[in-house]
Amino acid sequence: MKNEKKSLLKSILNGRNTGLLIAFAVLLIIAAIITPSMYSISSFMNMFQNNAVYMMLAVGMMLVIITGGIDLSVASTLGLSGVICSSLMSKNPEVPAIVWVLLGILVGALCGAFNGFIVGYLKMVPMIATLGTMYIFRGFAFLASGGEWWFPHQFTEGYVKFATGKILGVYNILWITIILFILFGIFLGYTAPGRRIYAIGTNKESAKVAGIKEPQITFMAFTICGALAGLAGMLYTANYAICYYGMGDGYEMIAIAICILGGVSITGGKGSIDGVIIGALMMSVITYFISLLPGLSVWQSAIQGAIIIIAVLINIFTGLSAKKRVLKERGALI
Amino acid sequence: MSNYVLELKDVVKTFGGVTALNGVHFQLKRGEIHALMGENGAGKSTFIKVITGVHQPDSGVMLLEGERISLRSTSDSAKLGIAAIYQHVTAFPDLSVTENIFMGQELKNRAGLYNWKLMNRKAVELIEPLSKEIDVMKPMGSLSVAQQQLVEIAKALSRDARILIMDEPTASLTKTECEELYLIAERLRDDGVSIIFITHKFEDMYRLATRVTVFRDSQYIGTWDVDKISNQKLITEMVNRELDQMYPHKTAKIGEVVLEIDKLNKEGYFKDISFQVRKGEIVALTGLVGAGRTEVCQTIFGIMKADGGSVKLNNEAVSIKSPIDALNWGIGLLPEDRQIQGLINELPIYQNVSSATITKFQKKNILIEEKEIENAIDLCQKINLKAKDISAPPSSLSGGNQQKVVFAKLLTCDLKVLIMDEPTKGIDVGAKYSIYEIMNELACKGYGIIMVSSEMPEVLGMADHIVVMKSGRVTGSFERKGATQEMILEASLKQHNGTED
Repeated sequence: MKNEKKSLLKSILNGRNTGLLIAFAVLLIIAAIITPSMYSISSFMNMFQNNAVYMMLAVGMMLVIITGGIDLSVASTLGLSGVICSSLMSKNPEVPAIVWVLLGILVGALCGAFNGFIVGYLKMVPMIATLGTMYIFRGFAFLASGGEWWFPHQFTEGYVKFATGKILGVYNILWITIILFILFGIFLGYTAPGRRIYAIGTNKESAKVAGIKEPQITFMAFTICGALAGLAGMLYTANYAICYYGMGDGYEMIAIAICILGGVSITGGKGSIDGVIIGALMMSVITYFISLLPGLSVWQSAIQGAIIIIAVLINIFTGLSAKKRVLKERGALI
Repeated sequence: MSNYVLELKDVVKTFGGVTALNGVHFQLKRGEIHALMGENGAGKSTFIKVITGVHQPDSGVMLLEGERISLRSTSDSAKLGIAAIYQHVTAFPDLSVTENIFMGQELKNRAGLYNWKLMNRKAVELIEPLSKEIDVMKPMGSLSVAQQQLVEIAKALSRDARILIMDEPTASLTKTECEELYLIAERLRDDGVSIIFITHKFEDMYRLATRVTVFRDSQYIGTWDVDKISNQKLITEMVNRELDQMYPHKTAKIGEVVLEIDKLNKEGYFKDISFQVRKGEIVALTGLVGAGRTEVCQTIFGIMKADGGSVKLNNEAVSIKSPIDALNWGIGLLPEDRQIQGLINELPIYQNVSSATITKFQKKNILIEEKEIENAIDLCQKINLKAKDISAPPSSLSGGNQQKVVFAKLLTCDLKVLIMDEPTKGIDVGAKYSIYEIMNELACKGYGIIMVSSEMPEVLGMADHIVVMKSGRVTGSFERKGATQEMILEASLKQHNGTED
C-alpha cells in the first residue's frame, strides 16, 4: 500500500498531472469565491454521486483505449443492462439486489465480449465495430423494455439502497467507485493481464515477439469494459430509481473525454488510474460549477468541449517535445 | 554429445511465392562468437526469426545440443535459452526499463501480484555491469539506441540465454559505444554464451568473431575461420553476382548541372549532404538501408523540412516547403512504396495518371474526363504499359506495370528532375528491364535523375555517378567508370571520422 501511495505521489508530481492538478485547484478556488455554497460536504457528495457512473465507464474505456481501441457502445450497454435489471426486478421484487448487480455485470460482460470478439479475433476496426454494436445494444434495450419506463415507485427499497445507501456517511455507489479504482489500480499496475494491456498498446509487434497473444488481451479489455458498463447500468437505475431504454445516451463520449482529460493516450500504450481519477474529478467539478452559475449553464457543452481540446493540445505539445529530444540525441550520433 | 550447440541443416522458408531461405546451413560452437554476413535481403533476418521461433521453417532440421527441436513461438525458444536482440529494437517504448527486461517472466509475490521492488532491484543488478547510466524506472523510449540495446542484452541475460543472437547491434552506435559492446560480448562469451553476431562491418567481425558464415540471395555460401579468409575474398563471396545483360545501353548525353544539393542538414537524420545532378545524368544514391537516403529525397521533395543547406535548380537557389512547391519547380518523386505513396487503388488507372496535375484537364474549373483519358492513353503507350482497361484500378496490374503508372503520373507534370526511390523494388527481373529502359529514355530527354537503390548491380548498371551514404553522411562519391561493387560496399560500411565522441 505504501508503494502505491509513493507511485501515486510520484505521478502527481511528474509533468502532465501536475498541470491538471493545478488547473483543478485554480478551478476550486474560483468556484469558492463565486459560489461559496459549493463548499459543503453534502454538495460534494452529491456531485460525486452523480458522477460515479461516468467514472466507472471511464475506467473501462481506459482499458480499451490503452490497447489502442475505443468502445462507443458502453452507453448502450449501460441502457441494456439497466432495462434488463429493472424489468426483472419489478417482476421479482423478492429477489435480493445483489443478484441484479451480478446480472447487470453479466449482461455487460456479454456485450463487451461480443465487441472483443469482433475486434480482437475478427480484426474489425474498433470504432466501426462498436459503432455497430452501439445501435445493436440500444436496439436490444428497446426490445427488452418494450418501450416501457420504470418509475421510483416500481423500484424495491433494497435495489435503490444498493446505490444510495450510506456506509460511514458515504454513498454506496461512491464506495463501489472507490473500490473499483483501487482494484483496477492493482490490476493495471501489478498483474500480468493488466500489464499486457499496456504492452499490446505500446507496440503490437514487440508484443508478438514477446509471445503475448494480442487477440486474447483485446478480448479481455473489451469484456471488462462491457462488464463495468453493465454494472454502471444497474447502479444508474438504482441511483435515480428511474429506467428507460434510452438512458445514458451520449455517456460514451463523456467517458472518452474523461480519459483524454486524464492523459490516456488515444493511440494506446499510455494511461493510468490516477490520471483518470483526476480527469473525472475535473470533469465533475467543471460540470457542477457551471450548473451553479445561472448565466453559464447554457455554455456547459461548449466549455466541456473546449477543455477537451485544450487537454489534447497539451498532450500533443508534450509529445512533440519528447520526439524532438530523441531526434537531438540521435543527431549526436551522425 | 554434439560439437555444436546449435545446428541447422537445409532450412527452407518461403513467404507466399518468395523464397527467403533456400536450404541454409549453420553451425554454432559452444562459447564462440560467430559472425553472420551478407547483403541486405540475403536472408539473415529471416534466419534469426526461424531460430527464435517467430517463423516456422517449411522444411529442414534444427538441432540444439544434438537434439532435434521444433519451435512454435518465441516462448519455446526462450525456454531453451535462445535469445535475440533484433536490429530494430523490439521494445515497449512506453514501459519502463524494468518492465521491458522482465516482460513475460515477471517476478510476483505470494499474492500473485507483480513485485516491482524486487524487479527493479534485479534490473539494476543486471544493468549495472553493462552501464551505470541507465535508470531502470525510466520509460524505454527515453533511452538512446545504444542504451536500449544494453537493456535488450540485460533482458537476454535475465533469461539465462545460452545462445544470444545480435542482429546488427553496432549499426547505429558510435565508435566508443561499439567498443563497449565488444567488451560486453567478449565477457559473455567467456561466461560460456554462444553468440551469433550479424553485422555489415568487417571491423566487428575481425574484432570479435572466430568464424564467419556468409549468406547471399537466400542461400548458404560458406563458413570460414576469420583468420583464414581475406577481406577481398569475403566481399566477393558476399556480392558475387553476374552483371550480365540486365541493363540497357545508356545513350543519354550529359549536359549542364540542373540540381545542386549543398550541405543539406536534418537533425537526427542526415548531415552535410552535397551532390550534383546534371541533365541526362542518373545519379545513384546508395548505401545500406537506414543510411538516410530516403530522408534526403523526401527533404529535396519538400515532405520533410531541412534544418540547413540549400537546393539549387539551374543555378538558382529555391525554397521548397511542400511537394507542391517541388512539383512547381520541376522536381518529381517516385516514392519507395508505390502501393501506399504512389497509387490510389480506388481510382481507375487514367485518374491515377492525371492525379498530380488535375488542373491541366480543367475547363472553367470543371474536369474534362475525355482529356484525362486521352492524356493517359498517350502516356501509357509511350511507356509500354500493359493494361487491358485503362479505367480498371491499378491493383489489376502486375508490380512492374503498376510502377509504370506512377511513372506516367510523374511524366504528366512538367519536370526537370526525377527522384526515384527504389524504382525496381518488388518487381520481377523481366519487368525491371523495361523500367530501366524507361529511365534511360527519360535521361535521353534531358531529365536529371536521382535513383535511390540498395541493389549494387543496379547501381553499377544504371548510374552515371554514384553517391554512397552511411549513417546520414556521404561516405563515397564515384564516377561509374572504375567503380566496383567492392568500392561501394567499403564506402557504405565506412565509419565517418571526426564525429565520434
